[in-house]
Amino acid sequence: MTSPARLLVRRVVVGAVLLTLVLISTGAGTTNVAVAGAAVSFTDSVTATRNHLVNGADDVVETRTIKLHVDQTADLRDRQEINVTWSGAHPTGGLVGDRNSALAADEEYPMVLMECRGVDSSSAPESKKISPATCWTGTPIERMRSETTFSWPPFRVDRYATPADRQAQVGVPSPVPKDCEGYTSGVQHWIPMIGADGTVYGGGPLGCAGIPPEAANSSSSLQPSNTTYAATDPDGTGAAQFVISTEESNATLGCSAKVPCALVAIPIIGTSCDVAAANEPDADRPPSDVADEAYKRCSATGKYLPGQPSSGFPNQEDLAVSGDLWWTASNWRNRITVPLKFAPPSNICDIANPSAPSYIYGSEGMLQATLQWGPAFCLNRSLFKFQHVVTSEVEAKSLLEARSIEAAFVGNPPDTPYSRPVVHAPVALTGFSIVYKVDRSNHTAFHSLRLTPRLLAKLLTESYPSNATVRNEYAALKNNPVDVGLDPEFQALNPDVLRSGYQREAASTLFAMSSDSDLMWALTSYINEDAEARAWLDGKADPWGMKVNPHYKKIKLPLAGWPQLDTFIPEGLRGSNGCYDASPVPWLPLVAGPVSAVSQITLNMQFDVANSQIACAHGGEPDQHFTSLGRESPGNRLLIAITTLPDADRYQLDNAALQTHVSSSAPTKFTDGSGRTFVEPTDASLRATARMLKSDDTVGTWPIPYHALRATSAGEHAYPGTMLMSVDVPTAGLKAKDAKRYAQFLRFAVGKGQIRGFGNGQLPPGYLPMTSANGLGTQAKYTTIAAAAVSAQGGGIVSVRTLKTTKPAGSSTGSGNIAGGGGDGVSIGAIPPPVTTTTQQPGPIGLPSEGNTITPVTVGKTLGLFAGYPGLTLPVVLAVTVLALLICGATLFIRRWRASR
Amino acid sequence: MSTIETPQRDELVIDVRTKEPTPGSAIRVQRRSSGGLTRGVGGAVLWTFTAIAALSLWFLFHALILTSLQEHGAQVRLRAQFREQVAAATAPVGPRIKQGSPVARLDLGLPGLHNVIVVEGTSSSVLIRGPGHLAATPLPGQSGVSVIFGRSATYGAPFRSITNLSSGHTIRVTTGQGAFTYRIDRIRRAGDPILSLTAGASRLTLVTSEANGWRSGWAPDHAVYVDASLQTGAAQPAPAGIPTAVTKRSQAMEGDPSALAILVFWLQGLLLASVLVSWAWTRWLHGQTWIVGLPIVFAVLWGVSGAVLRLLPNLI
Repeated sequence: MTSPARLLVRRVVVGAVLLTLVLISTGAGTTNVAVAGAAVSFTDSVTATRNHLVNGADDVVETRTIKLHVDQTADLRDRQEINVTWSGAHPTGGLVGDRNSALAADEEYPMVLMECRGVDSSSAPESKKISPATCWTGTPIERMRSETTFSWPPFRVDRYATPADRQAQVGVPSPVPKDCEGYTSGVQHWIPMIGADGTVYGGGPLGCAGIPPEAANSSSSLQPSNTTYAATDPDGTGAAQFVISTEESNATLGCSAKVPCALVAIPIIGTSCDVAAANEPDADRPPSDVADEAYKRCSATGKYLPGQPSSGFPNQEDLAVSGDLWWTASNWRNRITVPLKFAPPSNICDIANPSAPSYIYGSEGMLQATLQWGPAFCLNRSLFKFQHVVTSEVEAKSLLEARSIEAAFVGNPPDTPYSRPVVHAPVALTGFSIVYKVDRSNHTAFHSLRLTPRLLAKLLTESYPSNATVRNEYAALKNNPVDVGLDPEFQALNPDVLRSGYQREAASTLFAMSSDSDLMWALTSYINEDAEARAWLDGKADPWGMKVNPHYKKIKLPLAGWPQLDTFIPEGLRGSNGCYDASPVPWLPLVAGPVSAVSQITLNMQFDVANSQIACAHGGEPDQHFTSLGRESPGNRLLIAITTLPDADRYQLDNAALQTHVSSSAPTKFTDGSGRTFVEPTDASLRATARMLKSDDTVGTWPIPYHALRATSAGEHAYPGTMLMSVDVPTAGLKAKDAKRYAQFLRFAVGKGQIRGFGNGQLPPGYLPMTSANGLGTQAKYTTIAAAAVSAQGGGIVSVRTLKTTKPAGSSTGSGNIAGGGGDGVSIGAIPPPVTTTTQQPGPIGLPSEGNTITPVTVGKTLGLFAGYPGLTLPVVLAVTVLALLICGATLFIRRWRASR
Repeated sequence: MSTIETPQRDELVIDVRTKEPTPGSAIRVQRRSSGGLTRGVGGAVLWTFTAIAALSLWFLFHALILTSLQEHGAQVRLRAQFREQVAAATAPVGPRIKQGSPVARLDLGLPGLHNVIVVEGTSSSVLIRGPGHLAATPLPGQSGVSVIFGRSATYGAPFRSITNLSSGHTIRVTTGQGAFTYRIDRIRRAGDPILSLTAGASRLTLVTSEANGWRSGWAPDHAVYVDASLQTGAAQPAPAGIPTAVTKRSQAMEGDPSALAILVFWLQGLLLASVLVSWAWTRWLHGQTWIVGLPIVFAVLWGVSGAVLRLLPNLI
């Protein structure tokens, strides 16, 4: 091996070892593709004490040493999720399902995680320091307290608070804003939010003194804030996923590569009390008749048991130990500040490089890679700016064929070959992932979902009735389980998953795209190879009696665009749903709720949004309309969707394990997964698939061997959802400058771009680097040769089998246009692409006989067209004739024989 | 006096006493019916299967022989029409031409195929008249790839022997834009490469069907393509506005599902005709019934088998 390769291997090995240690030490059970490389993690610890001042002496009630670990603190991108783990904290009680909502602040002894702007250093200037006023909360309720019944709540007798903070009215603007009149009696403590631009939002009850535009008065929005009131388990450990926001999604907080921010973890230990308040002025000292009550409330140790869920009623918790008081000095002084470093924003190239970009249209699956590769190009003066325009792969291929674009990211080559010479150069190995948000019957998160192709087929084909009304009315589905959670096949493989409490409609479908996509093609290819799934789709009932929706029976797979074929309108739902009554449309396609972009699916899954469009917004009013079901509450979720593997890794979504092999001893009516192998997408399983790739010159790529994956032993531990992403670039007809740019991009993509990491130009998680060790050396070499062909623009085509470029003989005129044609018979139903008249020169021209003889190149293969059964009509009729005549003759003969007897 | 009796079926009684017909008496000859041939279960079976055999034979006869007559008739009419249009310079040159109208004359250089008129349209119904031009391609003689479909077994089978042609064989085409000579390059089957076309050049592709083995010649099963490139004659620019897609029935190896409705109509006609003829058989003299019934039944049968043939793939 040459030294750069050795260096790369060494880096990968070191990174892998580091990561393994990190994963072991954190004990996090995530199932993402292993990250190797520069993940800068952070560990720190703090000793928190609860120390009351009683009669002038310290009364230490509690001491804990909390150790915190964050897995990634550098190169962070907007909406990315990072893993935070800790140990040694006080166990949380009064648990609330949605840890990001304002209600979760009422938990006792939570671990509060917030993103704050500034640096945590006493030497920093005031405007750049971290303080509760620069920490983000999604609602004003989480940063204020008002007490009207008792004048000495715990935060007024906080031992560590400054005298200014112990006053009766703190943070109320003067003069009182008009909206706040009437809310300022009693004890009020409001923390303002200081925006990045210096704007001060006063907050207050109902946000009367102003709230930032990204905040709301209640936590019901579809995209929650990232303030997390995480729960510590009874053994003192805990884990949470924290969503990073940069200025792209939160301009008020304004974190970016230039504005320092930090993750502040506040382990709530409870207020340390000083009721005597010897150093306070009289106004801030509790009088003797209430001192005992004030001390009782302030030193309370919590009403809930560790791990006990919240009663659901307000004000049941002890305020002194609740997360509401994260901002009091007793808790704030115990904070652990984790400095965060951000990657360049996704729009950096628009800002930093004003030159015209070269566009590459196509696959969503490449988005995460191009987000990291893009800045490496546009910030380098000697390179160029490229822009990845995300469209469906099928659309990108059509645009490339129509010559509207010059390069496309695709999964498979097009069915009809392009009409000009095009290289299909592999640039990344990734795949689709079936992501899920599923909870156990004990309402904790479930992390080991297993799915068979038949289950995926059931979810896609609208075969679950989704609710009891539809089941009763729709005869074809009346024997089917209402949703996947009640399907015995699903329960056998995932026994611990809860069976009620979630939205049943959202659990009866696989959330997918409405547009054409190579992801769908890959998924349906995988489903089609499985004998059980194929038989089920052809109409055979599964061992428990479930049958496919008749509209999807015998559906021909694979498909790039999944159709919504059901047409049933359940009358019984019209009474309960005003929108449905007004416009009754087929119900099951509404439940399926497909979206046009894969990124929307990822967003919905990140925030547990069930996208079934069956909720009625503004019911009864003229503007009533269908809308999505909205967020499911953590603890009661069952959502399954398809997205890309890099997206799943960035947003920390769990990947389901897909069935690869069924041994002959496995029962058909199974009660567990024995005899069946399930594989999650990991480096090892992607590598196993990569090693099985074989070149195929007829399609010009290395197609994913779905049949071999299913049938051979090598495929047993290979991930069947793997996809080889390639770039289609023509080798004739481009301008020289563009051709050189795309060639440069191709060389980069398989060279430096395959080094794992989070920095500019590196390969993010979710992709398997294209190296020989991973079985992808030939593909990388092909791309390098293809880059040369693109750069030369001579119409060369590189064979995937021999890696040789075949160039046309002789010279080609000027732009070297070789118009395509003769595509007749390419597929049943297709017609030859007509040669557009715009490329013709006016006037009659003869065949170029002498002079420039251009050797024609193969632009495709003739496909077979068969007459099939109708073509057998004449032979069948002839056979019928002969048979009939024979029978007549036989009858006559029998008659004569009988008569002559 | 002999009694006058109405002759029964199968009965013609000769009165042996008089030995000569007396005025007013009917001649009855007792014809011994052949042992109850048409009676009982055996009789029913015989009748049924005779009918089936007759219908099937009719279908074969119609498909392989009578349809040629139909096509020749259509070609005669089209030849006259096309000659007149070319003379008056009103022959269509595209881009959108009415289905069924003649657009070109082909001389395939084979016996009997010197003056084949090509019509516009490639559905099974249109190809009854002769070879058809695929509407989404330019006409022969215009630059680009022009595609012509032709049947190889029924309706005159104009393209039955083009697969025997060797490369270099010339095809002459006359359209409203002039006369062009094409030279055959290759015969393409499934798996053969499709070659690119230089800008401005013209290619003619003839599409038909063939079969190997026992089915060859009368029951073709797969499509075959013959590519020819323009040899003499300047390629005319193809007009703008050529349709980019054709309906499913106009594509290769597709039947015409609109014939289904017509088939139902003809089958009803057949039923009616059968009922009427059966009724007439009992009421009229047999000869009379034959004279009246036979043409009606033949006509209806022609309609039925014609409709069935239109449902079959258009290249057969």
